[in-house]
Amino acid sequence: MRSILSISAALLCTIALIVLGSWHQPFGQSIPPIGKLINPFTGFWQNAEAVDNQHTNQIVDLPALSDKVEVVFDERLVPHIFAQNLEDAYYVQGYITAKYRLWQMDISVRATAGQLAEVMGPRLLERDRLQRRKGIISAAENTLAAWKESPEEIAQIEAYSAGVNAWIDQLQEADYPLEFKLLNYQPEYWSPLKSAIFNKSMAEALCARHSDIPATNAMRIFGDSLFQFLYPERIPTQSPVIPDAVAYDFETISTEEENTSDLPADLSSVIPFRPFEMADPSTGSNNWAVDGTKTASGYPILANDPHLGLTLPAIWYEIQIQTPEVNCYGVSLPGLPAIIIGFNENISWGNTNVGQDVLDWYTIQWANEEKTTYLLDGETKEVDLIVERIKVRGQEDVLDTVRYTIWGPVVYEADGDAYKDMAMRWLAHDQPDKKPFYELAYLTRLMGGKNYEDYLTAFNGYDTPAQNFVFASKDGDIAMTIGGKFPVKENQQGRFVQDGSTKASAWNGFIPREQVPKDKNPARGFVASANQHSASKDYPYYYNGGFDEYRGRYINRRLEQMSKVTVEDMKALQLDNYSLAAEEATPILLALLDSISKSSLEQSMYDSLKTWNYQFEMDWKAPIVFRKTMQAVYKETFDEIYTLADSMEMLFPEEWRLVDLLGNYPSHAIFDIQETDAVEQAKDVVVRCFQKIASEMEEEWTDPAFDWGKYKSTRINHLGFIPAFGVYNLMVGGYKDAPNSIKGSHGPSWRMIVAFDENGSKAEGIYPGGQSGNPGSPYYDHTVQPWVKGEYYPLYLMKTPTDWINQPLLTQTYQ
Amino acid sequence: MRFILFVLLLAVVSGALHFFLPFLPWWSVALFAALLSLFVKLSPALAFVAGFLGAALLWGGYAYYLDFLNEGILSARMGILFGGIPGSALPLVTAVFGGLVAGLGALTGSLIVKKL
Repeated sequence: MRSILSISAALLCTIALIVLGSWHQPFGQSIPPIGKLINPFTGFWQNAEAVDNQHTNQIVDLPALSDKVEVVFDERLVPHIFAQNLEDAYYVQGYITAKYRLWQMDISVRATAGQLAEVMGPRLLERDRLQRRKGIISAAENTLAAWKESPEEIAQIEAYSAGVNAWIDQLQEADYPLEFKLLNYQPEYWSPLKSAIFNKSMAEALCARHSDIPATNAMRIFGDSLFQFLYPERIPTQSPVIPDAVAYDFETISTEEENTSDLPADLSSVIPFRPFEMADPSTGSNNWAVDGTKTASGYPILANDPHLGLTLPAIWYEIQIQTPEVNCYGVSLPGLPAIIIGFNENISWGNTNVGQDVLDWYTIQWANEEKTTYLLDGETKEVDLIVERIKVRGQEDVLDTVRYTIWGPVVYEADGDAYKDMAMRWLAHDQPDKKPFYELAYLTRLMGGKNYEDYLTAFNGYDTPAQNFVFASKDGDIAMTIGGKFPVKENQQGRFVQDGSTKASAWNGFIPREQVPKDKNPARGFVASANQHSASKDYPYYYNGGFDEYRGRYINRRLEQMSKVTVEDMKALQLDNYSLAAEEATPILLALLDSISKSSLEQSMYDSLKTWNYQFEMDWKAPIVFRKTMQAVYKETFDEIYTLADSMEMLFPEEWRLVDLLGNYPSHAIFDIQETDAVEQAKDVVVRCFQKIASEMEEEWTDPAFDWGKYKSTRINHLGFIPAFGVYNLMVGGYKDAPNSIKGSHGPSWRMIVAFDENGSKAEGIYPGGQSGNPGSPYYDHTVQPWVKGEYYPLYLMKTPTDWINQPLLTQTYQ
Repeated sequence: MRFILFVLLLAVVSGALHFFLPFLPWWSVALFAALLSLFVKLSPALAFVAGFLGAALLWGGYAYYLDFLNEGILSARMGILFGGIPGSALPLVTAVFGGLVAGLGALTGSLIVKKL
């Protein structure tokens, strides 16, 4: 009997330990199954890659390929793919990208499509529900339907997908990327739809910003004249992407003249909805090209640094693709075939984002209680109901019905009759117009482009997200095109929530492609963009949206001044920490602080500003004084808006507007601080804030270790926010308004400079991170410190597989 | 002698099986230890120790080897997730975990043998 008892006890203990070790999130703790994770045969140890630089040759059997493909991984693990046709090239691109970035691909699509709760549990349910309401999947299906119209492209997209799946097929549990093991789920097959969903993730990041709700509230509270005073649409000193010299002499699509700045009559109360979380407004990018008249070599130089959220693994994956049609090097996005930003021996191209507003909100007037019909020009119309099934880990599926109107999906629903529900009109939802070719062929054409004509033709396939495309070629041309599809809007249309009960509120068609602003070989010898307004006020179509002006104005000024430009000059401009915002605001602050009596600390802070050269260098203190003072002055000046924002969504003025008000309207009522009895003016606000900052900074000011680099705390988070997999406290300068716009976890996600010469092109580039997405790889974050230091790597546009300079890490033959 | 035989057999056979059958579950080492104790007879206490040592040797040794080749890159990161322990301690944690599972398996097996 005793022996039976002891056997049972031992068996029970064994089983208990096995169960505990296999238990996903035991006792509700977010802990992975520990035995599964820690065993060295299939657990995390298998992701510890040998740090071994010995070159190896591999032969990989991929029967789906039509011909032999050779791949050379250079010393930074950048694959150089040599294929005999594009389908094979994209197949192998999919295979290799999956090998190094599979979890990133999986989680990007899940996050966009609203499929996170399936693997991460109920706490992600609301996020998933919002993504479904935004109609991302149906938008992706629309795009995929268009891609299918182009047999060559869809075959290439399917080849990429098949390549990803060929990698997944041969995976054993031991080979799963580490994050799958930590979150305890399995990779799923890739599909062309997932590529389309990834495409929408870029649209979400770049062209889904909107301020209709806060703007409508602000308009309601302030009235038209104060509203227009606080929120002007253009900075008078703007320096647009396409310079004023370009004339616009074409017949425009007419818009019916009506004053849409009047709010819909039924907006009798403020809007209770909070706009959903959007991509950071201060993510921006720079690109420019200088022509031979401005360079030392006599050939053009092109530079591009797209600023995006910085993550590990990085958003970019470097690659070279060579086939008989193309030989191109650049960065790709894990999830899409081809190269997004790159160069070949004849041309180079790069992107910055266009801030034009292509997402508008419309109120819906329901015609029945079930919300299945709504009123449109007095008639009832039925909604299309799409039932979204959201899988939730450990729970039953959740069903959510999304109502689609002629405007788009109804995203915001109010309880009861408190307010009208609102539908989202988003350009990225639209099924692309029938075209000779679409997004992939647009990229393939650029990859194989030889001249300006090829570049210009390529845009015929491109819709969203709209980009400022810079171009330079070996034969001496430079150009800038505001590429993409833009709605034709009436003046002020889309700034505010619109009345969805009449078709008169709709967009008036789209700007014809030949009428988008563009510029080729301008007299000034350069083209440049940094997310500022696209065109001058003379451009006949209404442009509204979020535009960032300081960097653009500064870069245009610098390029104007430069001559005999070299690659080193271009690097210096990308790494330039100078802020035009500081240049314009600091003298105003100093003038207002000039006459007051100061403590020795205040005097020292004042002097630091006075001697400052407006560079946001990491080891200086003056940038902290500037930044903190401006933030405090902003809050005290617009205290009225902050108070209102406690109870509703409010629009906040742009920072340049504050500088303008401080300098030109110092006695405006906006400067009066509500909580005091006195009537303040600009000077009172600035003095009060400066003194407050001084008292806050008393200890830090004398601490030699406390500087801008430390204060701004730059970091690169892991894509899944696993703290152990990120890098923190990077000591680096930069400011949001400086060309080197590094702040928090945003900044130049890829720096590239391409110089042409009589033989072709020479390029340098870097992104922070590494080619491998595996935190156990030496190539996971090895380029972060070089990026911090402002270094660049040579980018090898190889001619043949044996054309390498440094010993490759790995060569593979796929057959 | 049998003790040493048990330890070595468990480490070698379990390791080889994992190598040839990559789909084996992580806890198969407990099953091997239990089966082994049916053939290599030890007292329950010794069986536990032998099972523990055999699996610890295999798990800890393999983890240490992988960590060595990786120059500690991953273990440093994983150590943070394991409550902030140094990465160099992770092979030891791995060894103890594997040892416990296999030790309990061997104990169960030897108790069954004793009963029979």
